Amino acid sequence: MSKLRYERPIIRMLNSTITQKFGSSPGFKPFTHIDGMSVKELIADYGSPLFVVSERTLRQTYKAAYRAFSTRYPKVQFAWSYKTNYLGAVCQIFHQEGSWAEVVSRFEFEKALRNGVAGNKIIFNGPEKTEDDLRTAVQYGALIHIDHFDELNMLSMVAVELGVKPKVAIRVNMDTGVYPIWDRFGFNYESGQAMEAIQKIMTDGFLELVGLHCHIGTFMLSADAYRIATEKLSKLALHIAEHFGHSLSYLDLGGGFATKNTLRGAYLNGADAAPSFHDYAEAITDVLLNAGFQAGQLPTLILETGRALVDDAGYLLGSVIANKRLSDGRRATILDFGVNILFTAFWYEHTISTAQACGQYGEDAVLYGPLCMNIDVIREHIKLPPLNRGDQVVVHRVGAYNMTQWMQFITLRPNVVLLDMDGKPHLMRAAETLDDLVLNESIPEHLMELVH
Amino acid sequence: MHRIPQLLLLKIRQLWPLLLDSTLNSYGQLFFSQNRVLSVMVMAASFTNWEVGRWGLPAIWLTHALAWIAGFDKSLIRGGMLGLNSLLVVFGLALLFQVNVPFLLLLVAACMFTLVIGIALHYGLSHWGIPILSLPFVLGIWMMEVASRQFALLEWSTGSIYTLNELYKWGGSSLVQAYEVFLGLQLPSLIEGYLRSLAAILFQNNWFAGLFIALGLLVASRILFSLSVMGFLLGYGSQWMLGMDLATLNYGALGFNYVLTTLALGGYFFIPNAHSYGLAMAVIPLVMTLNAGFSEFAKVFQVPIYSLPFALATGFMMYVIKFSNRTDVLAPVLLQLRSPEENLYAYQNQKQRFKGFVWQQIHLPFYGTWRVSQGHNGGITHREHWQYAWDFDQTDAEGRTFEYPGTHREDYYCYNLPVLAPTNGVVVAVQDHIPENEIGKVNLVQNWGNTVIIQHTEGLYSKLSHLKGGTVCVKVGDVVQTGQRLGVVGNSGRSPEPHLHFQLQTTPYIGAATLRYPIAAYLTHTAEGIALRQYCYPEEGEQISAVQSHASLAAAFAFVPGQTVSFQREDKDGEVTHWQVETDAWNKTCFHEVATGARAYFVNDGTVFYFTHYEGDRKSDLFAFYMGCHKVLLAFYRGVSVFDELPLHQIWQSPRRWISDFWSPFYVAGKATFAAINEASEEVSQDISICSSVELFIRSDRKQQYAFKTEIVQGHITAFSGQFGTINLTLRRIFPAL
Repeated sequence: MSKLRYERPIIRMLNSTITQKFGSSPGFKPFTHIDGMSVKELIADYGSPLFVVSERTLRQTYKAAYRAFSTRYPKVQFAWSYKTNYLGAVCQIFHQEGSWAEVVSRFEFEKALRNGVAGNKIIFNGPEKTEDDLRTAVQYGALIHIDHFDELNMLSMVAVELGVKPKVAIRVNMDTGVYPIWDRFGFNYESGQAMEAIQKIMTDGFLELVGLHCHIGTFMLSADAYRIATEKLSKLALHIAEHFGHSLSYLDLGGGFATKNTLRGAYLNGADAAPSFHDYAEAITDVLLNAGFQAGQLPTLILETGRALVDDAGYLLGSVIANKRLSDGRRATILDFGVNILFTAFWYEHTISTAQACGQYGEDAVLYGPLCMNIDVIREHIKLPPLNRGDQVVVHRVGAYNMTQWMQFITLRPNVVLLDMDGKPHLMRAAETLDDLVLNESIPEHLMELVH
Repeated sequence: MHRIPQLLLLKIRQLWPLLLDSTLNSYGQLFFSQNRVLSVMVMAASFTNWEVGRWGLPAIWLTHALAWIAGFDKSLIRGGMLGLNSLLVVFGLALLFQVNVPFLLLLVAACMFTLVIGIALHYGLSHWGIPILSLPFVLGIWMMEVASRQFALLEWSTGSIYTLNELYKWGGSSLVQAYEVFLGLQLPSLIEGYLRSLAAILFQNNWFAGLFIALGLLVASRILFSLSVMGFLLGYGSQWMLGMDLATLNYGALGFNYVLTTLALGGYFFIPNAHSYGLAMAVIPLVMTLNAGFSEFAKVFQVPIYSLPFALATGFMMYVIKFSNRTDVLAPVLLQLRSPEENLYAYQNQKQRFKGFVWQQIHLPFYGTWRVSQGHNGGITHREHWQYAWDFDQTDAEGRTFEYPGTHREDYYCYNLPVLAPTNGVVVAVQDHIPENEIGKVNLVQNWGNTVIIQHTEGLYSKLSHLKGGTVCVKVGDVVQTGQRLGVVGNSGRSPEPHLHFQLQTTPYIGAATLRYPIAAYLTHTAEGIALRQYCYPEEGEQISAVQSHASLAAAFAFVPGQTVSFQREDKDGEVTHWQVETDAWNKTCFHEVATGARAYFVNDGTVFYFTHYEGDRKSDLFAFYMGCHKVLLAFYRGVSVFDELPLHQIWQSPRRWISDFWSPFYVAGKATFAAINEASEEVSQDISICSSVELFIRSDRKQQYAFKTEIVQGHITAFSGQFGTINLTLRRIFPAL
C-alpha cells in the first residue's frame, strides 16, 4: 500500500450576499421587451437566433455623440464606418441623421453608392485599393485617404490619366502613449515619413490635399490618447499652412471610441471603464481650439466612429439547446448561437439576460455555442439562473462587428430585424438558406455524378 | 512756348466739372434741386428778361472765383449756395440801375459783400443747425440798395420800360409780335399768379419764365412741383381770407415766399410724407404774418422784403423743431441727395434694412444648436427689471432636456458644455465659488450662481450665469475674444436644472437690470429648414445656433483699402474695368469705379457683406455688382437664403414711377427685393457660387427680374455675371501680376 498524496486543507470564505429579512436578491431581472416589442413574440415570428437592431437607440446614440462634439466645436462631421455594420437599413439611418460614409474596400464603396450617398461624401480608407478602385473613386469624387507610397504613386498616375485633381488626405500613425502603436497603417509621424508624403503631394501637384487622417486604435479606454493624436495632427496641419500656405479643410480623427461592453480579462465593468462621448469630445476639441489655427481657418472635425454608435442598439436573441454537466462538475449550457455569429465573444464578456423569469439563485456555468469546434465558447464563467431547454436569452450590445464578421460556418446566418421608432419590427436581412450557400458554386463536369 | 496753353487746357479740363456743377447748381439750388434739366430751365427763365438775366453768369463766376481765391470749402462752391445769393443780389440791382461803370463796381462790391455775409452766416448759423437759404441775398440787396442811395453816379434803370425796343433790336418785329401774343394770353388768375410767383424769384416780370421753372420742377421732382402748387394756393387762400392785398401776390412780389417755404419744409429738409406736408401747410400762416409784418417794417427803409419771410420762417422752424419730443413723425434728411424722391426712397430703404441695427455686435455664447427655454418676458424668472434675458438648454428629439432618469446633473444634456464669450471684451466680474444645486432645488440667496460679466463697450455688458463652480477659466481684467471659453454650464444659483442664462445690461453689477439688445446674426432651425436672422431677438422655444463663417467666402469679400479689383468683360472687346477700394474720413469704405466715378459703399461685419449706398452712373459695371452682391452671407449653409431690399428709384425707372412720385410721400406701390443663396457642389469645397436675384414688384405684381451669379474660387471672386433688362454681362477677374 503506497502513501496517498497529502492535500493540505483550504479554507474558502463562504461568500454570501447581503442578508436581509427576505433573503438575498442576486438581481436576475428578466429582459422581456425591446423598445416595447416582446422578445418571445420576436422569436416566435422570426426564429432563433435573431439579431434585433433598435432604430430609436441608433438615432439617440448618434444625436448624443453629435451633440457632445457640436456643442464644443463649430464644424463637426460624422462618417459612418461601414465595416462596423453595413446592413443597408442601418447605414440609411445614419445617413438620414446627416452622416457621411467611411468605407475600406471596393464593395463597401459600391454599397455606399447604392445607398444613395453622394460620391463626395464617401471617405475611402484602407490599404488595399486596386488601380480600378482608385479610378472609380476619383470619378465619383470620393475623398481618398492614402495609406502608403505605392498607393500615392498609383493614384497620382490615375489622376494624371483622368485629368482630374482628386481630393485626398493621408493617414498618419503616431505614438499616442497607448500600446500597440498601429504603425502598419499610414505614414509615420515621428520618423518624418508623413511629412515626406505631404511634401510629395504638394510639390507634384497632381492631388489636392484637403485633410489629414489618423485612427489610433480601437476600444480606446483613455481619452488622453486622442488628445495626443489631435495635438500631433494639428501640429502637422499648422506646419503645412506655414510651409506651403495651404490650409486643410478637415482633420479626421478616425474612430476607436470604447463602448460599455466589458473586455475579456478587464478588471472594471465596461460601464465604468469606458469614457463617454463628452470625455473624448473635451479632449479633442480642447486641443483643436487652442492649437493655433487662425480664426476662420478652423478645420472641420471628421469622426469615423463605428462601434460606439451602433453597439448599444444591437441585441442577439437566442435559445438554449441543452444543458450538460462537464467531467469536472461544471455546469455547461449550449446555446443556438456561438462565435460563428457572435464574433465579438472572442473579445467581450457580453451582458446576457434571460428573456423570461427564472430562479433568483445563480449558478456558475460555461456557455457554449452550437458548433462542434472547441473554440466555440461564448463565456467561460457566467452566473446565470438555471436554464432549461427552450428558454431564451438576450445578449446585449452586439450591434458592432457581429453582423459583418459572422461566418457561414456550420450554421447559416439568421434573420436580422429592425425595430422602428414605433417599435414595429421590419425584416432587414432574411436568414440564409442552402440556396444562398451554393449560389456561387459550380461543380466541374466530371464531378456531376456520384458514381464515376 | 506752347506749354502754357497746354497747361491751361489741362487745368480747364480738371476744373470743368466743378465749373459746370457750380454754375448750374447756383440756378437749380434756388429750387432745392441739382437736377440738370431744372437748372437749365431756371437759367433759361432768367434770360426772358435779358437786361437782368445777363448778369447772372458773371455774378456767379465772380463770386466763385473770389471764394476759390479765398480758399473757402469747395463743396460750398459746388453746391451753388454762394452763387445763388450773389445771383439774386445782382438780379435785384440790375433791375434797379442802368449799366455804367459805377454800376459794375457796385456789382463787384455786391458780390463781395454777399459772399462774406454768406460765409459768415453759413458757419455761424450751422452751430444751431439753421440753413442760411437766401438770407445773404436779402441782407446783401438791402445793404446795396440802401447804400446805393449815396452813390450819386448810379442811374435808375429804364430797361423794363423799353423792353419792346430791346426785343425789336434783337429779333425784329416777329419777336415783338410773339412777345405781345404771349403777354396778351389771358390765363386764369390763379395759374398766372402761380407762374408769376415762380418767375419773381428770378426778378422776371412775365409768366413764361415761371412756365420754364414749373416745367423744370415737374421734370426734376414731382414732389417739388406739387408742393410748389400747394404752397402757392394755400398762401393765396390765406391772404384772400384775411383780406390782404392780392395784387402783391399776383404781381409776384410775395407769392414765392409761400412756394419756397413749402418746398423747403415739405420736401427738402425733411423726408416727404404726410407729416412734412402737414408742417409745410401749417407754416403758411406764419409766412403770411411775416409777409405782412415785415412789409410794414420795411416801409421805414423803403426797401422790399424780398424772400425774408421764407428765410426766417424756414430757419426758425428748422431750429424750433429740434426741441420737439416727437421723433416718430418727421424725419430730417441726414444724407441730402437733393431730390425729394431719392431722399424718400433711400430713407424708406434704410429704415427697412437697418431697423434693429446696432453698432456693437453680440453673438450667441455657445457652439451647436440650443433651445431657448425662456425668452424675453418669459413666464418664470424673466420679468420686470430682468425681462430682457434668455435661458438656453439642449433638448433631444423628444424634447426632453435630460437622459432618463434625470435625477443627476450629469443626465442633463447641456451640463458641462462650454460657454463662450459673445464678443470681444474685458471681464469685469467673476463669481466661481457657489456650490451647485441638486436637481429640483434652487439657491435663492446667491440666485445668479457662478457668473461672468464682460464689458464690450461703454455702457454695454453681457452676463452669463448658472455656470459650474471651479470651471471659470477667466479672471477679472482678462481680455477675451469672441468665442473664447469662459467656463461650462452648471446648476448654480436659481437653477433647478442645468441651463445657461444670458443677458445684456448697462452696468457691471451682478443683479443689474437687463437691456433690450439684439443678437447680431444667428440661425434658427425649424421643420422647414434653417433661416438666417439678423439683429433679432431669439424667441422662446426656438432652436438656434451661431453662424460659422466660411473661410473662402470670408476671404473673397475681405477687401482692403488701397486694393484694386479688376475685371475684364467677356464682350465689348474685353474692356477692363477697375474698382479701387477707398476709405473716407468717416471710416466708410467704398468701391470707386475709376472710369465712371461711381462709388458703391459697403460694410463687411464678418458674417455678412452688404452695400449701403450707391452714387453715380447706373449703367456701370459697378452698379451691376452693387445689385448682384447687395447682401452676401459669408457662411455656407445649404438652402439658406438672405433677403434684402434696394432703394426703389435705383431699380424702377419708368413713366409709371414718374407719375407715382406725385403720391409717393403717402403711398409707395413699388418694392425692389433682393435674394441670394450660396451654392457649392461639394461639402469640403472652397469653391462657392452665389446665385442672386433682384425683383421689382408693383403692388405684388412682379414686373422685372434680374439674375446674377458670383463665382468664388479658393478665396477670390473670379467671375461675376448678370442678366438685367437687355444686358447680359459677364466679368472675369484679373489679378495683378506679382
